[in-house]
Amino acid sequence: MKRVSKKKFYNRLNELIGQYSVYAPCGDKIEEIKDVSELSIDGLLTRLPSKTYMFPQNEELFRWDKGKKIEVNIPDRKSILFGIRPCDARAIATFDPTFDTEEFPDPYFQKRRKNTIIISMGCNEPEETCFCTSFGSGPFDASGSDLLLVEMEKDFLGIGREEILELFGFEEGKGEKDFEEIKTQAEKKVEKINLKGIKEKLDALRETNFFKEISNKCINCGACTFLCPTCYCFDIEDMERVDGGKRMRNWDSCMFKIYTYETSGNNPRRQEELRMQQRIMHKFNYYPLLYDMYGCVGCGRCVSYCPVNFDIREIIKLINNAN
Amino acid sequence: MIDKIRKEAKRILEEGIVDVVIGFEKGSIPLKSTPVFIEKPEDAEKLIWNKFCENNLARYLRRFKGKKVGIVANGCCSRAIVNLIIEGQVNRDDIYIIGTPCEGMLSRRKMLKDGKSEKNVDDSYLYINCKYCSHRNPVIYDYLVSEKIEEKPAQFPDVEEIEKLSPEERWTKFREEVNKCIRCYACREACPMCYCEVCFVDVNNPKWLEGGFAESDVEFWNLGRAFHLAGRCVDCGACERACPMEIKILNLTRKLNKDVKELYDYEAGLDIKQKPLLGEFRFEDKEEFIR
Repeated sequence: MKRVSKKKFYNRLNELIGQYSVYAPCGDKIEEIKDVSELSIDGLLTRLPSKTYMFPQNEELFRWDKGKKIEVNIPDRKSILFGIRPCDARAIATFDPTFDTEEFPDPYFQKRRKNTIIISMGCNEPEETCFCTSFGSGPFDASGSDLLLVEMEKDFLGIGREEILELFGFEEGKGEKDFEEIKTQAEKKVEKINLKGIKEKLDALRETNFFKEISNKCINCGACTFLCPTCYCFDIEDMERVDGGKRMRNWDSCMFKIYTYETSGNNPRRQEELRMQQRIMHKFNYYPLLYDMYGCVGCGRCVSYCPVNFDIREIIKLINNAN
Repeated sequence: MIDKIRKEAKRILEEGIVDVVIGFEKGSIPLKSTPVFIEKPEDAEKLIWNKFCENNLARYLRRFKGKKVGIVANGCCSRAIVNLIIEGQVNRDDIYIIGTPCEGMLSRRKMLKDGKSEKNVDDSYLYINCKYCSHRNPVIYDYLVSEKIEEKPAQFPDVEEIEKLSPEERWTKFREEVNKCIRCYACREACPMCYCEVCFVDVNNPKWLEGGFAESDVEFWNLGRAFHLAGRCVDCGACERACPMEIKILNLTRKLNKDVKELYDYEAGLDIKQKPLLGEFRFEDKEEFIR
């Protein structure tokens, strides 16, 4: 197995800061660092997800001045996104079918995506709210990452692309047995929820009272969608000033009443339960239908931070039992 | 206490006094109770009451218009119900209040940070508004599950600390806090008094504020919401508990509550005959202009 000492790895990362913009967890969020000493990966997950990097909450698309359009320079620098968890790394891949398409290419997303090396950190100690294994993934799933690090006492084991391993000076070494042990232990701690046939089950529930019955508790705030690493809904807004302005792309949430509010005054998702239904359907029915993947990676942020404990894991179980 | 809540909930459902009972059940994660809506008498067994019932259930009442609703209510929840009645949002006759005297709720986040469990926790983990609560008993109820407990006078030492700071220091502190805001509006949705059909942030003609994260917008949102609660806030703390970014929203609302108490000797939601603070003029009021 490929192996490198932590010291050597961090030294190398520090050296690379000149050539690459390096983004990493700093407390609650992911920020650009100028030195590895600024890193803080204490807890498991940053409160704000990886999408804050790949798909910022507010992004300027272009501006205008006295009637003249001015393009923005999309940053084109090589970057490293370091220290996120495997679920957050996989979450970035769930954005691809929406933003990285030939039909509707999104240059803002595409440039960042193409320029970024994703280095994730496996989870030796998953949290009680984690349920990544439900998606056939796990605390050491390297898909979605260019390099996955496995933290040992003094070393990192590395799984990933050959050239990235080389870039950080990984060498052939022992560790398969230890890794298997760590992985098995970690996976045991993660709740695995049955998702078999969930798409079809949801199809069957669409015209029933199911969502109305379970929706009472949800207060329709946007905490789950904004902390979700896979939710990508946005709103386009012009910030107008006297002589000019900017066109912004801001995160939006299907939980909000005005999300579907039409100019005519009609709102097709006026009732709270319809908005909650949309969120569940998008993740577990429309995503599988359109892209053959789930719109959820099981990071558990929505479970931890929901003000009223509307637990998506429990909802999946209710869907399973309703059929 | 829990037995009595369950028995009463079961009775009022069985006798058809209410269609649904709103209460708490055990949550799916540690140190959390979660709102539950009981419609069948046999489900009343799910109801619980403990130190982790941190949401204000009055928030849900407007969803059940036209129905008879039972609700498990402590001091602040009952005050929110009173306010909703005063403001014409719900009818007293449609609500059956199972009153629960309350010694305060514990801060789940603080406990988790310090690795505390239910067994080794003490009162220093109470939420700040619970610690200084002056209405621990329901102010209105149809059934009381236990003897009333002793009330303490309203105290605001947390607000006084901030008042000591210079205006510049206060402004810096305020900005640091609210710039964590991601505008998910969990505070608004958790608040029993934030029920506007269209919130001022959602109005786009005129556009009061933009959708981005310009500091002025985030500050305006947080201040604007707080001001809309002047004389209406029942100090339940639901907003701050709901905030995923842990913004200290109560610094604003408790300051307003303190001012309202000192300037007008008014506390929101104590009596259904009370008039809304901003809807009433009294000759004792400090302002001269209206006399």
